[in-house]
Amino acid sequence: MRPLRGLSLYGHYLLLGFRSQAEYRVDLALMIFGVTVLNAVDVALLAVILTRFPALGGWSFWEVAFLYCLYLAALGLENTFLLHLVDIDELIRDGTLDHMLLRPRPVLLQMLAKDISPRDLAQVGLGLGGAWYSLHRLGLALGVAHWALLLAYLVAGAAVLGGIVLAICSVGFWTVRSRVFLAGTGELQEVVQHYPAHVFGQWFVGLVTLVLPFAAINYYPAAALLGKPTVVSGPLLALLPFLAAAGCLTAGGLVWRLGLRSYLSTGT
Amino acid sequence: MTSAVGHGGRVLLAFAWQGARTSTAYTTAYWMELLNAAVRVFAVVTVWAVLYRSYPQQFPVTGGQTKTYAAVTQLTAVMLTWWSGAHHRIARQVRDGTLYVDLLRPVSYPFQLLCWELGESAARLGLVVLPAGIPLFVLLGLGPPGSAAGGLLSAASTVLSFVLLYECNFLVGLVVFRTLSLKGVQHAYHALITLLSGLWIPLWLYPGPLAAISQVLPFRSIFYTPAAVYVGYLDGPAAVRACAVQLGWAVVLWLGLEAGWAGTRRALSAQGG
Amino acid sequence: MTEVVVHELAKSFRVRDAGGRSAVAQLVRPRYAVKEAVRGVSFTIGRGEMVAYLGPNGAGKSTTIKCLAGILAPTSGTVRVGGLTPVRQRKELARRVGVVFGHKTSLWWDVPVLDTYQLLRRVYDLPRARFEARLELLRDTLGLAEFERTPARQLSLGQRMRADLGAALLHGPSVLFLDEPTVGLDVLAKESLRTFIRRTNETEGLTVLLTTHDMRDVEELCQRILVIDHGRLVFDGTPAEITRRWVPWTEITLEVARPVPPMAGDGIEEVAREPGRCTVRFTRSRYSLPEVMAVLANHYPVLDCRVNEPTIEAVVRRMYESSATLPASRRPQP
Ligand SMILES: Nc1ncnc2c1ncn2[C@@H]1O[C@H](COP(=O)(O)OP(=O)(O)OP(=O)(O)O)[C@@H](O)[C@H]1O
Ligand SMILES: [Mg+2]
Repeated sequence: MRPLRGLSLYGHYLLLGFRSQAEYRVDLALMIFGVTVLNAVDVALLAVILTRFPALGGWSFWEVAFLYCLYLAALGLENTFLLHLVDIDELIRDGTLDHMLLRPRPVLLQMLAKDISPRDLAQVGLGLGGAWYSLHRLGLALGVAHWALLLAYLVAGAAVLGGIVLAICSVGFWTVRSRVFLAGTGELQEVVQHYPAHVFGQWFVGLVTLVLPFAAINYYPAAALLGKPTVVSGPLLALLPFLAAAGCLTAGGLVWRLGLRSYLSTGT
Repeated sequence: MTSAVGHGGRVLLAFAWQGARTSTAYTTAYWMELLNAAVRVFAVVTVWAVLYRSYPQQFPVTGGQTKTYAAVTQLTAVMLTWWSGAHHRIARQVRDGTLYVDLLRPVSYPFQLLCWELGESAARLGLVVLPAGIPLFVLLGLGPPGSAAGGLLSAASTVLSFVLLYECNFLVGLVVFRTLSLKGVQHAYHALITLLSGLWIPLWLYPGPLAAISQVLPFRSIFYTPAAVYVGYLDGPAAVRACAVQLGWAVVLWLGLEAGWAGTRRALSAQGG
Repeated sequence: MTEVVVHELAKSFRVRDAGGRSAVAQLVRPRYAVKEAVRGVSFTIGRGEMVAYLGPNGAGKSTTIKCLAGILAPTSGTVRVGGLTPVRQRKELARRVGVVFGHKTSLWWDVPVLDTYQLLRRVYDLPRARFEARLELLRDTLGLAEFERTPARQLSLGQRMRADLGAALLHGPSVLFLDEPTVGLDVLAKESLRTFIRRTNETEGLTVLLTTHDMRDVEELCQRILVIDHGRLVFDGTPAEITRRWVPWTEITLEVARPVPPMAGDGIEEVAREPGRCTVRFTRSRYSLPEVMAVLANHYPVLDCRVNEPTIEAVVRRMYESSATLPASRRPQP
């Protein structure tokens, strides 16, 4: 009953957020165009790399493309629903957080419900389309069960990203400016998105598996689906993205709680 | 004339000081920025080291040059923060209506913004790029410039890069006066820079058609030219020619900027902001 | 029945304190200072009371309100509102109190006011019938109908404040905290806001604590005044008491026929003089008004006279001015 009510409230918040956007009549088409161009260019760069270097660490051109597309789709999914996490510092500065604290509802719910970003669904579409095409070029036809698994990996990947972003942005409770922390992981994310992690050595694989598990977003799922060898194998490989998702969400929730408590006592 | 220069210099200094203050206003944020720069350079250099090791025959330069090119472009990018330059400032000022404050000042708006950006870039050079870059160069065993002349030319070329990027950003910023929003436009513009400036991939690896397109556009002058001169891939007359092209673009775009701004001002005064 | 209990409330902030050091030094080893915004404030407010919370800029008023509203946790001391502990019982508290910050709206900026209210209905789980009745009441008393379909960003400041008050009262709270609700409003808008607050207080027994820099708010709304300065409570009492304590005299302006030497007596003295006019001040505890008039008529060739009762504004100005010299320990007992 309670979660259901929470969900309906979330829906109503979103509706209001959507109306706010409609008020500004933000040019959705232009935005989608921009995002598409940006990703098209990214793919073009990847194509330049892959025509020069046809196989990276034993992964062929279309295998790397598949890797890239999985990340793209998960990132799109995360951005669609968790877009406003990066605004924590903004909300603190302009006093909106105070108003959220005055409402008898979880602050995180109010924050996430501010808005969703349908344009990022375009990225999900782009990623899934690219993944499908890559599989086609690889001559792999996934069955329904495998597609279901792929979608589950996608959700897990979005959760991994969401948890990490939540944890990092919650640092904004202490430092007023949290975007720099997120920017710091940007390069790492780029690398994981574009290249199979193991080409950089075991230390890198460890880093993006155990510390900031970005590899659980695309590297392990792609390896599991394409049957590529990684440091882990078997059922552990198949389950790893879900474990990482659980871990990241827990960590994110924890930092958020600590941050909110600190805000209440310091009012930074 | 000299007093105008003196005035300009003072404005510049004031803005540079302001830039330094803003970049250090938040302690943790500053240290994080330093760390970010280091991680960024390290990551990109590592990628190219691995690529070189896998396929050395694909490169017209040495492994050392490849890594140095990557480091130089990334550090330049950090210094210029090309992803949030003048166009963002213009968009913000148009949105929250603070533009008129700058228009009231007795210095032309494009020049003010230039000083502001220059101030921030100078501050970032001193506070972030050098402190992060020098240890990284030592640690990763990256090379000095190909030659002394190359080093000097590359430094001059970096200044031109700054001007060129500023001009492009400003021109994109002018679009905001028509659309009132930078979204979309900004993505497309950033895509152009990403693809054609040599920021991520040295242009010498580009296949024919793409290389040809990059030849006729100004973007390659922003990141590719100074870095290619630095590592000595462009050398002697070729290097001088590349810098001359940069200068040419800088002049042409400045004229465009002045014309665009004059038009926008006319439109502004006609509509009353 | 007490609604609000504040006991020895203290709140301090850690602030960056460069203290004249260079930016680089501050980067390498940032130095902090502790800013004690509120230090040991105690008071209680009974149900249905309307209390003004006064003090110069930076005295700690907003900080106290935030502690009461559950936005800030006290550094020490206890706070109870409607029997609840703010912060710890944040969600229960939210259903019992309404808060308005005059300088920051709680309305959704880009959508009509009514849409915000509709969302709040769900946030507070109000049954539809109750919501409609409440809305009808607010429409009547606040004149919402006139602008309820306008996006908040297009409202005038006065309309926005009315809409904000409506939003704060929609769920029928029993306590209302107002932080500078009349800031920036014109005379008429202030008047209508005050009328509304007074009426709600009378009809619903609403408890109100309000901070303001406009003493007319105090005169027209509050039976009781709290004054805070440098984080300490320096006064707690009625408007009459504050006047008695801080401006124990009354001034009389006399129109005189011709100049005479100024009067300087025991408890009566001339404090200002213009051609044809003198202002005289007397201590109220020493003389009654008829006595003074008699004495004055004896000394001055009086043509006409006007009695200037001290306004709260004047009283508070005197308080703030002398605040630097106030002994820190002087905390009155309620
Ligand atoms: N979040 C914060 N961090 C640091 N210092 C703060 C913070 N909030 C308030 N202060 C400081 O605490 C003191 C009291 O501030 P407060 O806002 O409570 O004053 P006020 O009485 O509401 O003043 P005003 O009449 O100007 O609104 C001020 O000196 C202020 O600078
Ligand atoms: Mg205040």
